[in-house]
Amino acid sequence: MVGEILSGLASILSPGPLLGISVGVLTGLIFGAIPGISGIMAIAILLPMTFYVSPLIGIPMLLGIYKAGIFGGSISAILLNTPGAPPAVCTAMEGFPLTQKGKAGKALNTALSASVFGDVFSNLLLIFVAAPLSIITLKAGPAERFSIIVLALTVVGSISGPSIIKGIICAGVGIWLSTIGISETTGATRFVFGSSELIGGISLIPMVIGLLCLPEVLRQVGSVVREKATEKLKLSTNKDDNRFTWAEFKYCLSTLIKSSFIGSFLGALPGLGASPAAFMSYSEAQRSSKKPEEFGKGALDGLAAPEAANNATTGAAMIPMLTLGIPGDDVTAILMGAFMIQGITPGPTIFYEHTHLIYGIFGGLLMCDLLLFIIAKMGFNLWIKLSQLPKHLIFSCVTVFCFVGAYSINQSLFDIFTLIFFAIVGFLMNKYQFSAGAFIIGFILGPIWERAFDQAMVISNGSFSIFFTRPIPVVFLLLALVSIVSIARTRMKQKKDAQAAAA
Amino acid sequence: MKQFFKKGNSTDVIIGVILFMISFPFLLNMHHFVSGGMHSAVSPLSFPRFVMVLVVILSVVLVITGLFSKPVPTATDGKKDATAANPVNSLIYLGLLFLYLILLHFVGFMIATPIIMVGVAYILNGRNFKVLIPGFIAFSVGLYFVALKLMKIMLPLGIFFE
Repeated sequence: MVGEILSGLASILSPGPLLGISVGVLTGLIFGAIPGISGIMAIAILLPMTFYVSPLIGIPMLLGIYKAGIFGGSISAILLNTPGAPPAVCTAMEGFPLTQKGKAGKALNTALSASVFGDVFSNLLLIFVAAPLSIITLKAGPAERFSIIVLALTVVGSISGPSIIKGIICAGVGIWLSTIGISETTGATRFVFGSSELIGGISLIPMVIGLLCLPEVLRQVGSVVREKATEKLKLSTNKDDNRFTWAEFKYCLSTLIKSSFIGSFLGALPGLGASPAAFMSYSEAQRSSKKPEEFGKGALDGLAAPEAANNATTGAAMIPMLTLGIPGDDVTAILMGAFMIQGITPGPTIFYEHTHLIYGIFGGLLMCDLLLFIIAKMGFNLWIKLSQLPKHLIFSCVTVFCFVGAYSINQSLFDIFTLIFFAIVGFLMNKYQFSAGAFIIGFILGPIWERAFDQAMVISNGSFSIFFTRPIPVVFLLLALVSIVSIARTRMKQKKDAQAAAA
Repeated sequence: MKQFFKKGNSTDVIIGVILFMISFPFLLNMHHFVSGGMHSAVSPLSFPRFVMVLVVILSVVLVITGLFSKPVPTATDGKKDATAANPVNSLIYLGLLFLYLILLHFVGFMIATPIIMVGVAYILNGRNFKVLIPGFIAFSVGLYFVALKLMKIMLPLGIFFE
């Protein structure tokens, strides 16, 4: 076992995985730096590529995109005051004033160092926590797995946007769509409506790209106005304006540690994600800062806090996915899809069935941090140029990448049709506040849930009592109930607060 | 009734009714859409039926909550809806997506791609065609060979050229 762990960690040092991570980091930085597109779009588009390489190359590549995409989002926030995602709002509040003072290089360097610090912190947490936790969940049978997935689906309540009912409907429709095709237990063909293309089921990749990428392009195209020529940004020629010095690092260190804790803790809780982590750590940094009056005017600790926290969610978010098979958000749901494309189902057994691979991926996570630091630092001038690319170039290329990504898995035009269909569905879902993330989580968890359900039913001769007479399923079902009640209560409180604030 | 709808969230009511009208008849007729399979303790319909019952119940709940709740404030409330700035562009873009699908089938990737890229660039106010067109052609040819040589993916050649 120890030998497997060490060889797994060392396996990431081969040329293939290193190249995969470099490509992933570069892609994540490019997609993150360009306003209007994001790391998750890059993950969706490059997901099919993982099918053609070994999991030790493909999965670290996606992780590289994930991590670099989060830092990349801060580049446009700092340079253009355009946070591409909610977690980068606080970054923009402190980073953009620095850019206005001619210290864009210092802001970018501070954000990068804080991001890598948060990343390393949460990766180490993942490495030391995930495997021991999986021992506890290892003895799960079908009834236990069924109840764990019930608990996982309560995540939908947290990511479902304004309406929890809409979120559960999305997950339900996603689960139902996952049943199209051949039933794993009986071999019966279900809901294919005479189409031979549907016998294999709906392909995950065109669906994910359709739901996540093209609706954003549709939104951007619909909101287009003639772009004004903006002043070209450049790094300052004064070296001191571009450096994050050792003294500044020491000044920010306690903030970095606290923010990494906050990010890792919130990241490990399914459904919360990077935004609350960034906001909470920013507010804590302001509260405990030696110079709180500088906040909003370019405070370095104010910039470092949200950056460390939002990157610290990335490693921690993989703890529930790898130990319980619970994807905490849409990105980890897609990563779970990447594992499943390779025939590997995340969950407690993964540490024993695929020890070499898992520790290879852990090594890959640490390598991502190193390469993110090196690649991002080398290309500051390039990221500045990318962040100012015209929209017509970006979205014409993104459209083609989406089509190639959707086509590449089965090399079938039916998948392109699926892509367009889900692009329309995704656009309407965004417009009417239905959650595409909940839909994808339902679609990915559906087959695992059905398998557990069928196996439990076969064991119990069709009796549902199997879910209520064993201790572990009962505990997980109760936890699911507690989770639903607490989400509902939080939402009601938020609603009341919002109404009180509006009155 | 009009007054009642004004008070409630009419969008949720309409979506809930549509969902119910699709999911309920489907639930009742589900057994018509299953064929073959071996005998097992579990019916191939039991899991999808359970999920569909959930969707039917929740669509009813959505209608009821929609009737009695106030419209949910959206991110665009109080300011102009970003997507409404140029909705025709969104429709043209959708048309381009379908056109791309058709062109891929008939003329293949290398011809279809620059045409669609020019179309997308045009609706996004890209007008420098002397630079854009050669760039898009080079991009399409490059991507075709990257897919073919590196990933062994044969992008569509089109039925006219196969």
